[in-house]
Amino acid sequence: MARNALGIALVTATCWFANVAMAQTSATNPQRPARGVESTVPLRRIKAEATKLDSLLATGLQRRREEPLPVVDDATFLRRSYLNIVGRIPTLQETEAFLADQEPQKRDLLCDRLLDSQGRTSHFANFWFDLLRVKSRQRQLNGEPFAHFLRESIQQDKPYDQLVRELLTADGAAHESGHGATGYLLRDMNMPHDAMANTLRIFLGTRLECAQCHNHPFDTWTQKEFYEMAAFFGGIRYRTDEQMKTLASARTLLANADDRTKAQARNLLQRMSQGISGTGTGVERLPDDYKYDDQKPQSPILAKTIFGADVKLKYPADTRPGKRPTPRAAKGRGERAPEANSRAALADWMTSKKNPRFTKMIVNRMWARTFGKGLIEPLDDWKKDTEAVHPELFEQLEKLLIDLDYDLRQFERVLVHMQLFQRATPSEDPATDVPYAFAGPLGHRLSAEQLWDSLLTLVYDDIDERLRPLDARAKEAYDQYEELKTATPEQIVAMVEERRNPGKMSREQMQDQRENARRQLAADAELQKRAQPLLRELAMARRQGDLKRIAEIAQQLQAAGFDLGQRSARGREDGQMLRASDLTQPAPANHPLHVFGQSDRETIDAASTAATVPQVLTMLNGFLDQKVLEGASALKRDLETAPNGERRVRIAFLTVLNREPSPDEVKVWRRAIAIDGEAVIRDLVWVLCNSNEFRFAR
Amino acid sequence: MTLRDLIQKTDLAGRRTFLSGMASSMLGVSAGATFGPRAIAAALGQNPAQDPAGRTAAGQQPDKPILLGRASAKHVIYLFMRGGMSHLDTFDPKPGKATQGPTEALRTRADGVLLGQYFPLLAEQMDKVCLVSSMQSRQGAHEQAQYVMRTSFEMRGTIQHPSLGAWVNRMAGRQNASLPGHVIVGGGGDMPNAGYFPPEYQALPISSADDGLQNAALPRGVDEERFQRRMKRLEELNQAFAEKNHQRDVTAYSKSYAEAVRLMRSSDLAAFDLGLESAAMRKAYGENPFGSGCLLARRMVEHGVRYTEVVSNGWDTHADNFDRLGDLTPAIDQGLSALLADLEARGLLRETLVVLATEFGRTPDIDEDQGRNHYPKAFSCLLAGGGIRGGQRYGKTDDEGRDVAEDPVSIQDFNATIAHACGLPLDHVLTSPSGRPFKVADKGSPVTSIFA
Repeated sequence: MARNALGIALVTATCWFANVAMAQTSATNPQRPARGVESTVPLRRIKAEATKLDSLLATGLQRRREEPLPVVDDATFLRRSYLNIVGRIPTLQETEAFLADQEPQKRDLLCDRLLDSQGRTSHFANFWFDLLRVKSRQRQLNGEPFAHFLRESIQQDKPYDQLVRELLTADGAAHESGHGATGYLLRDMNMPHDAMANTLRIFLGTRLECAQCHNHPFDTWTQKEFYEMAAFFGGIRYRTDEQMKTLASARTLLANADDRTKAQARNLLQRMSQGISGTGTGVERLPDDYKYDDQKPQSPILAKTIFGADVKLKYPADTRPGKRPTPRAAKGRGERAPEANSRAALADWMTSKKNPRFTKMIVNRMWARTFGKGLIEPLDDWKKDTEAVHPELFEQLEKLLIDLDYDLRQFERVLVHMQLFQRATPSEDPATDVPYAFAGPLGHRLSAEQLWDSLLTLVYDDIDERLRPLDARAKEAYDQYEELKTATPEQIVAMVEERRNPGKMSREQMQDQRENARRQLAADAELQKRAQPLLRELAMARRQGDLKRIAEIAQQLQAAGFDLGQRSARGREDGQMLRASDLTQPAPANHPLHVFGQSDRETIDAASTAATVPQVLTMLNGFLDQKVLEGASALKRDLETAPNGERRVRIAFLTVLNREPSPDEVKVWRRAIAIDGEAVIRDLVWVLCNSNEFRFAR
Repeated sequence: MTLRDLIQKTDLAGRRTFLSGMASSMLGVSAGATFGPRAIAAALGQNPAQDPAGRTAAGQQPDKPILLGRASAKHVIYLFMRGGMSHLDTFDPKPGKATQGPTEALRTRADGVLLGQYFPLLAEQMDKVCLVSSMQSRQGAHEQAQYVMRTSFEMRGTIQHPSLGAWVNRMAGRQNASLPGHVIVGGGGDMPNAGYFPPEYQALPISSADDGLQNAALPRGVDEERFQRRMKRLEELNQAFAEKNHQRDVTAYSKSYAEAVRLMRSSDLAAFDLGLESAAMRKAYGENPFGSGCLLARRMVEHGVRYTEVVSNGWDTHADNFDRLGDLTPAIDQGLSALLADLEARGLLRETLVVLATEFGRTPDIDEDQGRNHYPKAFSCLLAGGGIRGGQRYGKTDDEGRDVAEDPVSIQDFNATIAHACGLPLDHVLTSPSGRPFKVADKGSPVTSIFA
């Protein structure tokens, strides 16, 4: 929230509650949930549920002869709650207010306030974006409507089972407002088999992708079973038919256009018609090279579930004369075969409370997200004999989520109200040969998104107020779709011609150019040898960012026949100082988010928290001195307005590490200031941000 | 050995001389783990044997010394076509057969070796190239197939295997101690990397070749003295944290900081700066991410980096296969051809093995969407330079490109061939921290007949 003129000295417990009140009435805030958590379920009930879970965990720990770890101090709890629930560290104001607060229930109140805040939508969105591989751009497809759909589902507390049902049964045009859910199946466009393999992995923890090509080598699944599942997605079409008429006449008008115009028209029209249709035929054909004896290659296979309840589909009768009324598989992804509502049937089976893995799967993911590891590991490769580390606790969690009608916000609320959430993290890596028993939550490096959003918190102390409206990024796609939808074929042709990029070369021209370029290669290698001394100087000048010297050397080089060409430094994306969930998905390659290990969204859960050199370089030489210690940064302002050196040292620790400095730390830095002057505070902030204490969650 | 000691005990000029001396003494060395804490300790004149437990960074007993064989390649450039490249349309055309579709075949400088129509420039370079057309994989899903291609092992929930680049550096050591031995250009962070090897074998990821290595210079207003002061204080704070947190991930960061500082002081940082190449050179490689990646790979080789990977995305051509190839291939044709010609012009092709690989091929049958689907049964990869005899095709598929007809090459065999070129002993066992024994390329055997 915006910093007011009260100043830091006046921040007291009173002010803390004033802020809470402010946050709850703010009307400008776009990502706030519809109802507060307390008005949906009273805290009393949540605490009772949490206590039940804690006592089951205690029994489990006793069985393993392990002691629970001690409860952490306020500062650790504060930082953990912010990172876990809203995905960033608290601001200086939030930190001081909480630490000074005398209210005995303040930990409970903090969690509930954070669960109701807009930051929670942003943080939870990152989780879904990662799991469902959300990309802003996928060839002709704009992925923003899908991201919008997910943000909105989180904010509205859409029950998890309903969310999954909407993903599996979505239809309509991808770029039309209200059809964002189609983004799920379109993520595997033209690859319904992969979509099924991914669906089984994400929602049921079952890895069937190996069985796409052969019987599973390490599990019991057969290739035929895979095809029985794939049949539920039979006959999916990756476009909508609504616009077909316009498209056909536009194509006629374009028949005489040149190749490039045609290609561009194709792109534009493809964009418009992308979407999902077909309720599912419930039939799929075995591949040509099917090599097992039970069926012939190419035989039609009817939809059948791999475990749990059977599903009966109502196949329509084939009315063509002379044909037997048997289910028929579509020949291509364009062709229509009789439909059997198999996608809806799949959704019924999958999201049923009786499905043996559906509820367990999300329970385990939510647990891992809160406590650092699943009760079942790996998270999404369950076998028939897979068991949770504390079976009774796991059973209770499953029951709880069902009782809460799959409300994930309330479920998360119970988890963070557990005693476990207040315990210390273990100081050693847990053993790898036995499942971890949760004597405390596990520490971990902050995710790329947590790290980025926390750095932004140093720059903007009203970071959550800066979140954009949920549909801000998708609006462009919606508007363009509406424009195309109402356009006549003539207008579409005009649009194509307008969009034509006259600078673009034909393929033949490009090839000529390449051949010429290649002839120069050998000559250039020679030249480069001779230019070596100047190039060495240039390298130095470029490292120092000495633009004048760079220009001079470039000129000298050009005089010697070595042309560097017109190459300006590539500009950074504007407005990139936004929370991770509001940026392009995934962030571009030169963005710190990418460097910190954000998922590339090619595969499920592909984020990384490994240490890399570019990451370290970003922290050593890049972001901190450029953004946090320069310009209109909140931290810089707080330091500049502080009355004295000691206060500045405390501000730095409270803002970056969210704790008071120890007496020793105060002494060391005060001495440093005495020797080297006030500029040392910059060094202090730099050191704190580069520390492992900042980078790791405990 | 702490980071602080490293900074304090080495002045800038002294370190450079010492490290470059170390680099040359490391060429052709036979001991494994030539880089890492032991090597740093050695560089600073300490006796690594003082380590009380006598253990290596991975917390295990030291492995036996690695005896390298004769290496025909000192460097590897590994170009990865992520998504599964169609073999029929690229390196294994079957003119006149229905499975060929609209793609035409192209004669090349090598007698009888045909390429798909999309590679007119590579056709001119075929005298340097050996196509391997009898590749076979057991994995038809991307993640699993890419994993086995890059590690030689099947994906398991319980262990992360090191990639071939990590193996090469672990066994053959670095050539240039001030630069990382393994660089990945344009790849995702999720690819198998150092695996269970110690974190110093982690590859350096370069997101975009055009941007190079960002943030390698001290920011304005921070001089060397101030930087050292900052690092000293940082080390103190981290030590306090480490006393309560002994996790492997935490330790990994200390290593990365040491590595980053070493890199900042490297006299070879210019290696990452494509701004030092002429406009003509950049045009020759192609001004696109893959072309720039190839050019950066050449600069890596010039500066003694052992293993450089360049990743090209988008090969999963389930629909509109032929249109998509028309979009994807020009950059590959141009970048790869320029790379081969340029390496040869510089006398580097002899010692540099250039590999083009993908995780599987694509179905010979073209489906109703003009698409080809995943096909691990038969596909093609490419080797050039580094002691390989050019102008040949190794292995054969049947008339329609459906099955391997002659000389099958498994993924493990292919990786064993790369390892063999680098002089790595294929039967040398390294143990994982949990005590499991592994060999580079698992049970693969190298295709030795394709070497000159």
